[in-house]
Order: sequence, then structure tokens, then C-alpha cells
Amino acid sequence: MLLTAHAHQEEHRDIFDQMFRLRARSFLERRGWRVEVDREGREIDAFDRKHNPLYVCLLSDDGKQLLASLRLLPTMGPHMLADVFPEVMGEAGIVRNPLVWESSRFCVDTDAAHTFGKDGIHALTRGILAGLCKTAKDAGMQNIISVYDVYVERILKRAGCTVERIGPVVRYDNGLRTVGGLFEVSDKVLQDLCEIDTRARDLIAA
Amino acid sequence: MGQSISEFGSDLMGANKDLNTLNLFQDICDKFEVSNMTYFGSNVPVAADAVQNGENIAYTTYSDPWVHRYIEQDYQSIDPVIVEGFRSILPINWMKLPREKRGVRRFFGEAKEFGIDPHGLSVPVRGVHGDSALLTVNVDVTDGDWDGYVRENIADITYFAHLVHSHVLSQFVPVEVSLTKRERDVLLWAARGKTVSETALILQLSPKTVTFYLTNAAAKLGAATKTQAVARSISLSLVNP
Repeated sequence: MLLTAHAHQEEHRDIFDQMFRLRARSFLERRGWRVEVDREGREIDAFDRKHNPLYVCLLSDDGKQLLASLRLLPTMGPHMLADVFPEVMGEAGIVRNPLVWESSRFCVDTDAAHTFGKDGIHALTRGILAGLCKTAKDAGMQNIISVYDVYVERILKRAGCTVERIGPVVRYDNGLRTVGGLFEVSDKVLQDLCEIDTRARDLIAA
Repeated sequence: MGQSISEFGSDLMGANKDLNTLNLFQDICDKFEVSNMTYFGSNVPVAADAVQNGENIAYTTYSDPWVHRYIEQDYQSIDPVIVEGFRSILPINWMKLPREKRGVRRFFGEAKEFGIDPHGLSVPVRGVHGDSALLTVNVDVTDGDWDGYVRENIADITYFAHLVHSHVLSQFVPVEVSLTKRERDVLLWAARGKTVSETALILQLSPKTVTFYLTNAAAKLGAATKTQAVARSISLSLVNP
């Protein structure tokens, strides 16, 4: 099931903690990003703390286990591509558009993905992107921009998601290659995702 | 389809930098099926050096009796639109707000008695300086037509909310438009009469990316259409075709 919730919504504390731990495992342990992880093993940054982002989460059917998540911020306010990684946008520069949100901290729980069959990671990837697309579409958005490393870019491509690169490949941290991506928000994109994989449709069903 | 609210508003705000925001709202209520429009800005930088200590600024077409009642009862502290709106990045559909709390139910009941249309949509705005705002439209439609209205107009109203916020800001602090290289590129070719697909070929970008840069440029210029964006970029000498 799909959960969209703002950081201040304490009733989702347990899911948020699962998400911050998944982020720590994905970004610090597996990919060696230079991110801060607290004593409870949670990766929480200034955007989580100060700017009340909206989280898009895929949960197990009973709503108890987090399967995948990402974070949304409006480009009109503080966001990563403007304030942390402007180089990634190259000549595209800084985006300030009321109808464009930024997605960041995309991650999929690879252990949980195994329970979805052999290509479970693709099912969850399509599911979370379908959830992103639906949430953005309902709010009238036209595009999502995103910053991620080439590892995530590969997952997106393999899952059949059409994300265009904007800007150059930039190396951060331990030579980690980072790119900016442009994702279209439309009924068609949402339909396509659900058609490639009916599991994506089931995952975002209420 | 006629003009959108953003297009109409952008024309008026573009033509007159000092346009009175309340007059603009009244014009919109006259022209569209909007019965009331309200802007509430928080931490608005009212001077170049007041970024951290901005002020609250409001414009509304609500009747004076309702505004007085609202202030007198301190409804701001229980109004769920205000409580949620300034924290959310999602638009708030009034018809979907929880009304279990007795105070909230009474508040909406009273609003209705004062003639406030219950079909309301409030769009949050976030700025870069810690400023934020909430723009609300109350719409004269039936329950049955409301969901469709929201679906069709949510992007327009969200866009308009930001146009109004920058207009309000521009009354106090100079607003500088700075376009990126790509934004200037696509505007230049649009100004020379090229279509999106022609521009895509020239710049070796995909048509979707060209459209993306065009809409980003339009947003920075306070324009709601490509034509408005091109005209403004030329008059500001940001583009010289």
C-alpha cells in the first residue's frame, strides 16, 4: 500500500524510523555516501529536520513494513539540487517552478524485494514510481527532478522507467557518480508503469 | 477553453507592477466561477533586511462580518486549513478535511452561515527565504462537480498561488529574474518563431526537455504561457532575438 505523509506527522513515526534506517543501510553502508547516521542507525539530514518534506512510502499490505521510499520537496523552496548539488544540473541550472517537485533519497529494501519474486526490486521500483506519479499528478505537478547515483539510475532503467538525464555526471564522495534526472508526470506515465507490471498497480492500491 | 486564472492574473500583474492584490482577486471572482479568494502570507520579507523577521500579510474577498468573526473568535488557531496548510506541500481540499473535532465542525458550520462556499481548495506556497503562503479559492460548484473541478484546475490554481506570492513580495523587495543558460536558449528560439520540436533539433535536446526549460523560464518570469514568457524576456532584455 501507498503512504504519503509529511515529516511532522508523528503517527507515522515507526514507518519513518524504518525509512531512516533503510536509508542508512542503502546510502552509507552499501554505497558509501557521506551521510550522517545517528546512534540509532538512522540517516536524517537537514531537509528532513527543517523543511517538513513529504515522504512517499510503499508499505506491506498490513501497513507495518516499509518496502521502498523517497522524499519530496517543492523546487520553489529549499531543495537538494539548488542547495547541495547545483553542479549536477549543469547548464540546466537551478529550477524554481511551482509545478516541479524534487525527489531525493530514493531507496528500495532489497531484502523485502526478494519476497516479490525474482525481479522483486523492479516491482518495488515501479510501485514507488507509480506512487510518486500518482501523488504528484493529484497535486497538479508536471515534472519531478531528482538527484541520484548511477546505481539508482541503472535500477530505474532496468525497471523500464523513462527518466531523462539532465546535466553532467558529477563525482562526489568516494568517486560516486551522481546525475540529475527529469521525470514526466502524466496519466500516461502512471498507466504505463501499471501496465508493464500489475504488481505496481496493486502496491499503490489503497 | 478560455483563459486560465494564471493567464488572466499574469496579464494583469505583468501590466501593472503596483496592481492591488485585492482588486485582482475581485476581478477573478467576477470572471471565473470562484466565489472567494484569499491570500495569507507568512514571514513575508517586507524590507530587504527583514528576511528573518517578515510579516504576515493577508488579502481576502471574504465579507467583513466573517473576517471580524474570524479574528474575534481567534479561528486561526483551530482553522484546519491554516494549521495544516503551512506545514504541507500538498494542496488542501476542504471537503476532505476531518471534522470530528467539535470546534472544527462548528467553525465550518459558521463559515457556511456567513456564505462561505464549502468547496474550497488551499494551495501552499514555499519560498526560499523561509517565507510561505497559502492561497485559497472557494468555488461555486455542486458537490458532484467538485472533484472534477479540483482535478482540472489544481495545477492552474497552484501556479497562480505562486504568481500572487511573488507579486506580493515584489511590493516590498526588488525581485530579480535570473534565467539559466538553457532557459535563455529555449526562449531565444521561441522568440525567433521556432516550435518546440524545431528547438529540440537545434539544441539537440528532447522535446520534453525543451518544454521543461520553457515552463521553468515562464515560472521565473511570472508568465503563464509561452507567449507571455517570450514577451517578458525580451522586454527585460534577457533575450535578444
